[in-house]
Amino acid sequence: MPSLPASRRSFVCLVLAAAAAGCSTGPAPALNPREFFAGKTLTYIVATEAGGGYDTYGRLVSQYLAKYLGAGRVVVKNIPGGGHIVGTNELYRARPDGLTVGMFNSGLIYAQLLQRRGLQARLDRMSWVGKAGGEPRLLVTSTRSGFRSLDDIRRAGRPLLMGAGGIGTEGYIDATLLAAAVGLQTRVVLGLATRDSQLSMMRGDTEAQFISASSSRPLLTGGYGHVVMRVGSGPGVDERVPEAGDVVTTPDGVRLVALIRAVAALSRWTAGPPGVPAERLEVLRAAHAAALADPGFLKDAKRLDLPIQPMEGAALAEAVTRVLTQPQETLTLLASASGEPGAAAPGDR
Amino acid sequence: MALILHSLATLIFDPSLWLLMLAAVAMGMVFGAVPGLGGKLGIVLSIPLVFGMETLPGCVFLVAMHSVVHTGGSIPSILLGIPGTGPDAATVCDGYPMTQRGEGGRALGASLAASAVGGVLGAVFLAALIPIVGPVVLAFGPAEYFFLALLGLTFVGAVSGDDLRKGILVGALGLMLAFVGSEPQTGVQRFTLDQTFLWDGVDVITAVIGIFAIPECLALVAGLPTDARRIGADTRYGFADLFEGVKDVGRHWGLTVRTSFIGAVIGLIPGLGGDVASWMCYGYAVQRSKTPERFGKGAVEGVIGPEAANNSKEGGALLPTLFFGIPGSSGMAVMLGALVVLGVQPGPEMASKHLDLVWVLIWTLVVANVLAALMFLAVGRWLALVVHLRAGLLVPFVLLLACVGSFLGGGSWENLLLLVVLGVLGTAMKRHHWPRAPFVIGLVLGPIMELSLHQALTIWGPAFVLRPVALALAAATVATIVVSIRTTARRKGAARAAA
Repeated sequence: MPSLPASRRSFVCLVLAAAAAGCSTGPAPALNPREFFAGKTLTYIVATEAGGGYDTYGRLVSQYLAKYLGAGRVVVKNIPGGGHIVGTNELYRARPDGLTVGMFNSGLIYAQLLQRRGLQARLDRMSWVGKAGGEPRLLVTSTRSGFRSLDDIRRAGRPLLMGAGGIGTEGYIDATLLAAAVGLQTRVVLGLATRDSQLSMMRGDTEAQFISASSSRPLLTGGYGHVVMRVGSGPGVDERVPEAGDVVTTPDGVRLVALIRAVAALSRWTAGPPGVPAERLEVLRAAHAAALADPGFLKDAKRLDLPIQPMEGAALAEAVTRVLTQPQETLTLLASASGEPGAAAPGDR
Repeated sequence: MALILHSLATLIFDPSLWLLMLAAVAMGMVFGAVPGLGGKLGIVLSIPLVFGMETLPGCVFLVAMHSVVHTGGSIPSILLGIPGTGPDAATVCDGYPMTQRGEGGRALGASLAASAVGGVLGAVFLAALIPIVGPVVLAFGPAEYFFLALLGLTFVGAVSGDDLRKGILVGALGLMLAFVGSEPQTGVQRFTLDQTFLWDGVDVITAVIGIFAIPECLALVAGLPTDARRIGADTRYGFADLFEGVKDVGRHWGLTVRTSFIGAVIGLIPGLGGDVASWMCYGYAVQRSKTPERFGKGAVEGVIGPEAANNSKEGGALLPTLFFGIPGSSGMAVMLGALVVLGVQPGPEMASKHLDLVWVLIWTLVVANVLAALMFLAVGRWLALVVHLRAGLLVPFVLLLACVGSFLGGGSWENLLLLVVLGVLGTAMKRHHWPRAPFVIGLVLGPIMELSLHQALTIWGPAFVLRPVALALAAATVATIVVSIRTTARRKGAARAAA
C-alpha cells in the first residue's frame, strides 16, 4: 500500500480518533427537552407556495412557536406541489428530532381516507403539535342566480351549477359530500379555485360555492351572494341560516355532514414527522399553546384577518385519529361522492 | 380633478415616500433580475417589512416594488438569454440575439424605455377604467378565455420563421407538453411518470431556459479553447447605445402603445397572467411587422412588444385586485394579502370610500416606472460589460444561474432533470434550424385553452361559441389567419417577381 503524505495521514488519524471517541462515549446524556431547542434552528415546512392563507398562517404560527421554544431562529420552507401532497410527504420523511414541523391542508384527511396515490404520509402516525384554525363552511349562492334559500334551489328542478377547484381538492369533496347529504342535484364546474369561482358567480356563470366563512367575505360584503346553508357556527356567521345537520333526514346524510364538520374544524394544523420523542413533543405542544395565547400573536392574527380556533396537540391527535376511523358506510359514500378514480372501493381496506 | 392632483401632491411632496419608492424600485429590479425570484417572492419577503408601516406608505412600497420587477427582469433575458421571470421569457427570443450581434446596449435601452412607457400606459389604463371597472372585468369568462387563447395560438404562424410546417409541429409539441400534469376534470395524472413534481405541469421558466438558454450556452463553448469567444461581438458600449434603444421605442411608437394596451387588457383578466401577456404581444409584434423574417435574429420590436406588455399588465391586474378583491395573478394574490395587512379591504367600496388611495397608487405606478428606467439607465452601461467576459469564465456562471432559475421556478430539484431533457431538445432544434418560440406559446396557452373549454362546455354546452365577446374574438382569429395568409402569398409573389 503506498504511504500517505504526512498531512493526509494526520487527517486520517484524526478521523479515526474521532470515530473511536464517538463509539466509546456511547449515547449522549439526554438534555433537558426544553434546553434542547434553545438557540437551535426550527424548520417550518409550509406545503404550498409563498403567499396565500396557509403560508400566512404558517409564517405567523412558526414565528411565535420559535419564540416560546427559545429557538435561535426559524426557517419557513415552502414546498408546493400536488395539492399539498409533496410538502406533506417531505415533512413525513424529515428527521423526527422535533426541529422540523410544518403545516398542510387538512383536506389530506380525505386523501388518506380515499387512499390517494402519491400520498406517502400517514396522518394518524404524525406527531401532532396543535392547530390554529377551523371555521364553519357556508353554501353561498350568487345574487344573480335568484336562489335565496334551499327551497328555491330545489324548486328550480335542475342541477345547481357550482364552482370548485378540481376533483380531489377539499372544496370539491366538501361540495359533493354536502350535495349528497342534503339531496341536492349539482353540476360542478372545475378548475375554479376560491377567487375564480367567486368571479364566475359575480358574472352569473356559476350559481353557488361551498367555502369557509372567511373566504366568503368578498361575495357577501360586495352584495354578490347569499348564505343559504351552513355547517358549523362561529363568529360572524348568521345563526338563523339553516344548519346542514338540521336539514339532513337520512342516517347517511348525518354521517356525511359530521365528516364535513370534523374536517372543517381541523384546520391550519402544525405537525411533525412520526416518532418525535415524547418529551420533546410535549415541549412543542406547550410552546404552540402558549404561542396561540400570546397577545401579540392574537393582535397580528386579527390584523391579518386570520380567524383563530386553537386546539392543543394531544386533543388534536385524538381528533385526527377519530376522523380517520370512519365506518365502511361512510367510506363508500365518500368514494362515490368524490368521483375520484382509484378511490377506495367498499371492502378495500 | 382636485383629487387626482391632491394624490399626486401627496406622493411627490413627501420625501419619506420618495425614499421608500427608491428602495422599493431597487428591490423590485433586483428581484426581477435574479432568475427565479420574481415579484411574488418580493412581496412575500416585504410583508414583515411593511407590517409596522402606515397604510399609505406600505401600499406605495408594495406597488412600486411589484410594478418594476419586469423592468429588471429583462436584463438577464437580453444579456445572458436566461429570463429573470416568466413574463420576461419572450424577450429572450430577440433580446439575446441582439446581444450576440453586439447590440446588447441598444436592446437594454429599448427594453427600459418600452417598460417605462408600458408601465405608465398601464397606469393610464387603470385610471381610465375606474368608472366602468365592473362591466369590463365581468366581460371575460371561460368562453372568452378560450377564444382569446385560440387567437394567441394563431401567432404560432407568425413566429414560425421560414417554414410554417415546422412552426405548427413545434407549437403542437408545446401544446402536448401542456397536457403533462393533473387532468383538471378528473384529477387523473397525465404523463407524470409517477413524479410528483410534474403534477402541476411543466414549469414555463424551466422550459424557456431549456429551449433557449442551454443551446446558446453550448454553442458558446463549442469549439473552445479560444479566448476570443464572447457573447457580444462589439466591445464598446456607451450611453449612445442605450439611447439608440430608447429612440427605437419612439420609432416603433404605435407598436409600443398597442402592446401596452393588449398587456393591460390581459392583466385585467384574472387567470391569464403575465406569461400570456408577453408571448401574445411578442406574437403580435411579429405578425404586424412588414419584415417578420428578422424576428428571432435580433429584431428590436421583439424586445419592445413583450417588455411594454409585461409592465403595462400591472396596471390592468390592479383593477380586479383592488375593486373586486379578486387577484389577477398569483403575484397579485400575495399583494391582496399584504394590502389586508396594511388595513386596506379591497372590494367595490374602494371606488367610493378610498378613491384617494387608489389615485396615489396610480401615481405610484407612473413614478416607479420612470424611476426604474432612470435607475436602469444609470447602471445599464456597466451591466452590459458582463457580455465581454470570456466565454470560459461566463458559461459556468450562466449555467449555474440557469439551474438556480429552474430550481426556484419549479420549486424542486427534479426540475433540473427536466431542464436537461428540454436542453437536449432545444439544442437539436437549434442545430436543425427549427423555430423555438412556438413551443413556448403552445406550452403557455395549452392549459388555459383546455381548462376554459371544459368549463365553457359544462356551463353553456356547445352554445358557448355564440356569446358576443367570444364571437368577436373568434372573428378576430379568423381575420388574423386570413390576413397572414394573404400577406405571405403577396410576399412570396413579390419574391418570385424579383427573382
